[in-house]
Amino acid sequence: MRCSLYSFAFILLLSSCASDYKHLQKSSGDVACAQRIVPGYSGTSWYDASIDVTGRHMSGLLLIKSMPDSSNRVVFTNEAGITFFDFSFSKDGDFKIITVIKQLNRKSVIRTLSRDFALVLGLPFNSGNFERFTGDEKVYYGVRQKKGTAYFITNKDCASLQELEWGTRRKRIVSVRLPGSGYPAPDRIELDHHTFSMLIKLTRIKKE
Amino acid sequence: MYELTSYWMRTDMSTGEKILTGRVFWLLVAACCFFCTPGFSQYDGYHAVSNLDTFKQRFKTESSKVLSIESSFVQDKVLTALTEKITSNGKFWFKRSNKVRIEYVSPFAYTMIMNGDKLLLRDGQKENRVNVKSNKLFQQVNRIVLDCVQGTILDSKDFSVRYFENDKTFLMELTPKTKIMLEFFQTIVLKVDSKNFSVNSIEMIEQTGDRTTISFLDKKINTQFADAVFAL
Repeated sequence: MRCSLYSFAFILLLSSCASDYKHLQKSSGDVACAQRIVPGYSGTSWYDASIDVTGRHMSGLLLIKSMPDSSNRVVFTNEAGITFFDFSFSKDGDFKIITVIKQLNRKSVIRTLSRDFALVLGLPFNSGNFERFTGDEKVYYGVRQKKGTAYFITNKDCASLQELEWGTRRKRIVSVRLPGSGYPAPDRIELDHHTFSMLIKLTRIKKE
Repeated sequence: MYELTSYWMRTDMSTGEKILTGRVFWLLVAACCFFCTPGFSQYDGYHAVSNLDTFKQRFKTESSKVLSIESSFVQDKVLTALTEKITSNGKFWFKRSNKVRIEYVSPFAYTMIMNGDKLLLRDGQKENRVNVKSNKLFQQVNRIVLDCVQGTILDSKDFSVRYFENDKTFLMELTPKTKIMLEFFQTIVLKVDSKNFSVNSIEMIEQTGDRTTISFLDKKINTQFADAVFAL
């Protein structure tokens, strides 16, 4: 009995150590595909935002706006118009808080949101130093960051962008899915976190 | 030795330094006096309420006669620094006492129902029930909305109020006193119909200068509608 418990714990340990990326094989770069499909946000869009985080639900409106100086602003308000945060991202990835309410002004929250929206904006891919990996009938174009790697994922024949992803060496951190039209201003954006329960769904609002 | 360079300016001949003339000084003094006068209003077309005690008494009496409101509304959110505006609209219901339903219809669907100490938030298929008593922020927001439509905002200790009027509207500029409200709002500007004392618009100005204006249209005062509107 004790032996089987140890075996079970060992299997659990092994499975928790298994890399989410072990199936990927490094392959030679397809520069043309990467350049054609690399995600990059531009324009101005308001999104209806739905956020489920660790069993709690909230909603609001999210504005993504490309500024004349090539920076981007991401502003979240509630439906009644009160601004909860306003973040600025420069083209080279510098992040600045314009305003944030006290309830959200926590290091872990800011780090998560800034990383998530930098990925949505496609900022990690501006450097253009892609590494190419293949696996599961998909092609991963990865750009190494300080902590982890940002990927954009295409199908095998590079016909369409499928997902964006942040990951460490072993673990997927967050996936960005685009169920509707794609870049430069996707109709729908879903940010799904894999290390804790958080799902952000954004649906573009058609302004009157 | 001075040389008069212009109507506003003179030049010290020894140093070449340009100095404002006495005319400018007196103009600035006059401007300060004018802008600091109690009657001055920063709101175009408004002046300070002439008889405050009478106004407060009338406001209290008349607004207490408003037992229910059914109206549509238009909300404009302006992000000043980003020169962005989003307009939404919907329906509004109020029934004395402490019952409010705000239903955004376009360009997004969102419903907020306040019924006593209970609050229901509904977006799409998801519903969130909040006990207002357990959440200080919701409690304050709930209080503001109800105080504005019930006419009890002037009794609130959470704001200092300045009063203005023109021939059709009373304007009340509410400056928050509490820390939690000051984090969100610089001022709240309430415009009230001078005939029936019902609220025409609520403008919330944030510390960043961004503003949200909710204007109430097609108001039906004291009409009958079912309590089911406020069902949680």
